[in-house]
Amino acid sequence: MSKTKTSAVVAVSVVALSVAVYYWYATEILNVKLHNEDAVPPYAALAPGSKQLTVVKKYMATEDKEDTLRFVVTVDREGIITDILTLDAKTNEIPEKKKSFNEGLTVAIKGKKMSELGPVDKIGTSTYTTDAFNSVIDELKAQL
Amino acid sequence: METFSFSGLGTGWSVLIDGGTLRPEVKKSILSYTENFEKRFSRFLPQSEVNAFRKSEAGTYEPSSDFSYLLKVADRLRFLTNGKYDPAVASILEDAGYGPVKKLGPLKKREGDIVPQWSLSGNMLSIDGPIAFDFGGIGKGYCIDGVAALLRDAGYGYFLVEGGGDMVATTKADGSPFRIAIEYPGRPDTAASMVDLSNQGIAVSDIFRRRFGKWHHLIDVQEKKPIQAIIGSAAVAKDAFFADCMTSGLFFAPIRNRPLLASAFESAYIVFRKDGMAHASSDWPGELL
Repeated sequence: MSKTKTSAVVAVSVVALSVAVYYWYATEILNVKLHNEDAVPPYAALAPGSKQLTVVKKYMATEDKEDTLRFVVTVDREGIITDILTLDAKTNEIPEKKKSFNEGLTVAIKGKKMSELGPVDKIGTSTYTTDAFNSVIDELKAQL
Repeated sequence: METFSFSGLGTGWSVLIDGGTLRPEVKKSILSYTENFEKRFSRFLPQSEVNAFRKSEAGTYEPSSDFSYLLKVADRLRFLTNGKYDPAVASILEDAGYGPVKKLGPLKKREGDIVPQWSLSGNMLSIDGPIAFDFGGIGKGYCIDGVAALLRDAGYGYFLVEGGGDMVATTKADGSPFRIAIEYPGRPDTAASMVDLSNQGIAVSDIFRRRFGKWHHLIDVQEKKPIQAIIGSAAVAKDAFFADCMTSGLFFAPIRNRPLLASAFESAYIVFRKDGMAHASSDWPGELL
């Protein structure tokens, strides 16, 4: 076998080995990535030119309990927000607490005459995620 | 309970002190603070900070710390309302006849942009040319909290500060809350809700106040016209500033952004719709009437 042919066989073997190794480990890496909290799952079909920005944030839900939320903001081609989701980063579902918060109450308020009210001093709470959300606004904007 | 009433920022103010009297030097400090705030942030006063950039070249500038903090929060509101709230709305308000154009001259127009462009990086303000700001909808709440801070510094522990219907309150001296009636938008003789206020702020906004001609002051800068679908909003937050920001944001934010707006400004809220219905967040602390 000539020196050139030997070199070619070695080169082909190295390439084949590299592809096999890459395939093996890439699959492993991708599997891990898909279960990683930083991965972006497919939330919905995006309109042409739209993109989704996502930031995962850990925060202290109570003094001794840490939660992780994923803020997903969809923006159109001009950077205008068209959708916002706040998800539990582990389950990718809307936390129960937020579901009830999102629902709120739509009611007909008839009102009551001021003169019919009892004693009044003057005529004129929040979720746990405030700090977490405020801290990621700049990160979301940086992705625009 | 002692009440100290005065005028400031184009509206009536009152300070209620429970279990004590307001010392003359504290009254003087309060008047001085609100007058100074108006001088600094009124769009109608030529020397104010919000008019400081009316003739400026494009570039980056360093505003005062109060100014940059107001801009920072305004920028958050701009983001959460898809750009519909923008303190650079001053040029549109002036075009509509609501502003000091005669005194100051019109703002220079730019091709293509609806309002002048600005951004904030840290405390540094970048602008694309002449610009004026309007902190209507958020500035009064900030000033109310400033008066509350003065009272705390002067040793008062039980009080309510009210400016044009927005307020912040501690508890009363006996630990009980201040009882507040929320006015139904456009119906001054009718209450929509009762709220017990205790170390919190509250703000109420509607389209029936501060009208000029056919327009009211809540302008959608993208559409370049007043907001139509909502007639009023009310919010309870940790202080008057956040409550004020929330009521303004509710006029502009798409419905599905409201929970994030409430999260960002730590607020419970009611939105009064034009069709007579109202939407209240599930954590609204008051009684709906």
